[in-house]
Amino acid sequence: MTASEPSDVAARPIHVTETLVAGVALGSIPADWDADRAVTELYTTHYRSLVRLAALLVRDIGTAEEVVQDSFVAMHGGWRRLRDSEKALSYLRQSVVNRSRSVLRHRVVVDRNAPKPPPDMPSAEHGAIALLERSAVIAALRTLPARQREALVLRFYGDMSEAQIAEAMEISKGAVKSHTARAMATLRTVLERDA
Amino acid sequence: MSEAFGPEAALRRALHAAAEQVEPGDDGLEKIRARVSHRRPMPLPVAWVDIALTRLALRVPDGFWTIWDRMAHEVRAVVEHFLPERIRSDRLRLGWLRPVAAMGTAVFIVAAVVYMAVEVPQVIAPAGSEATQLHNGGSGQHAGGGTGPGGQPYTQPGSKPTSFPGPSLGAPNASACPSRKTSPRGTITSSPPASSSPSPTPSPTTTSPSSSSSPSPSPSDTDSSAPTGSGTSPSGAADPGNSAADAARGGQTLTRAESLLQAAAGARAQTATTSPSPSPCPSSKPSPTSTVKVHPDAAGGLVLWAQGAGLGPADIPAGLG
Repeated sequence: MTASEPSDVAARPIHVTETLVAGVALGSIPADWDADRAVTELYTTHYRSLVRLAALLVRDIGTAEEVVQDSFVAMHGGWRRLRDSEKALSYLRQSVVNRSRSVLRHRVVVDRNAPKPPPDMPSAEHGAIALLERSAVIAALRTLPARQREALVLRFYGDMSEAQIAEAMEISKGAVKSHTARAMATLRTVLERDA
Repeated sequence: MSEAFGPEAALRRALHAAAEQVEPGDDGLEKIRARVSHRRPMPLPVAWVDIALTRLALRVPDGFWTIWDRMAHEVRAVVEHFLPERIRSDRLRLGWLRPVAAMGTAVFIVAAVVYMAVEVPQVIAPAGSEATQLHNGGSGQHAGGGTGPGGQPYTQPGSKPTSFPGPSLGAPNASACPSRKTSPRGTITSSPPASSSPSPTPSPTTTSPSSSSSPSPSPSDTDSSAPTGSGTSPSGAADPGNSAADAARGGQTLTRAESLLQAAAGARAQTATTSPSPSPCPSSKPSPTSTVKVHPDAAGGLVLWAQGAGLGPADIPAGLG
């Protein structure tokens, strides 16, 4: 697999509100903006894409919204430290990834200890998850480890560079390459086997 | 370019298709604002600091933050210039501090464990030996005290085991008196000074005042601890039967204490020459009820302890101790 060059990002048909890269859809936020105004601007531009990113990670729309809202609240509290659109969006991405990881970790614990529901009673999240996993590719994506799934989602949905993925996942660029390559190999194997 | 890689393109299309099905609610911003407004208030000192910083930030000139950012960028560049190559990055990362801190903590724990394993037993052992010496009645100050001739812990036959077997019971001639009369109540004990070496000199300390002898056991160069009937005991000194009577009377206790003190002082003065009584074996008569122990302290003075028969520390004349 070869990583696409950053110049390819602009050539891809991506909706302007879907991007997670700062500076493409949102101009640089002036430093003298207060936190409320910055949150409003970033919400208008990036909220939807961030919720979709979180939904791909946590496989639950409601939880994804809560994750993103918590991230915005945290960004509001740390706005004096950020004071920049690039930093703010980077902070939001990183916060969403970390909080999604925490949600998955907590969900594993809850599923381990919670009593199993009857088989004929679908859970409340079943509809949303089934909606997301209608595609075979998404279903195969679910079988991947969390780090590999994060790397693929950030790479192929967020259209981030390896440096941005490394920053969001708080790992090195080499680890990003490794996770992406392993995830693609596993995904290819699963899809070929199912086909 | 991306068309050449089928799996990647398929994955990208699938991810975008799946994501487009997700439509977040319209009340997201209201929820965020509500959460921001209902955030837990910060502690008062933190709030004061926050207000102060906010006011300070409002008072600075407009171009201050631009200059600040440029300076921070330059400082960061300088710092990264001196960092190792592998941890240099676009932004300053201090993630390498985590493993360094973990390694430092591990090294500290290992060093502490090694120190505890090596040093603490050496500290505890002397302390334990000192405690043992103290428990044995200060046998360290007494030559051979607490142990018998064979190095075995000394216990007097026929006597009650005591927790302080050292000074008064460790005298060699005490072992020659297996009778019950050798109980501490019937002895005049003069412990040697602390500086005395463990010489095999017979202890001047113990002179068995057998009830058959005079209650004023004046030491003599001879081996007799027999009653001397010396003039130091003006009354009833020759009659052992009178000693009990004198003690019972108590009226002459002061005079008797003086005589005992003189006897003990003489015994101490003739430490080198005083031999243990070769015939210390007491008779079957009961020991006198009056008991005097004379302990010279480390400075060479005498401490007189008179017990029984109304003799107590309060009865000792001032200046004799």
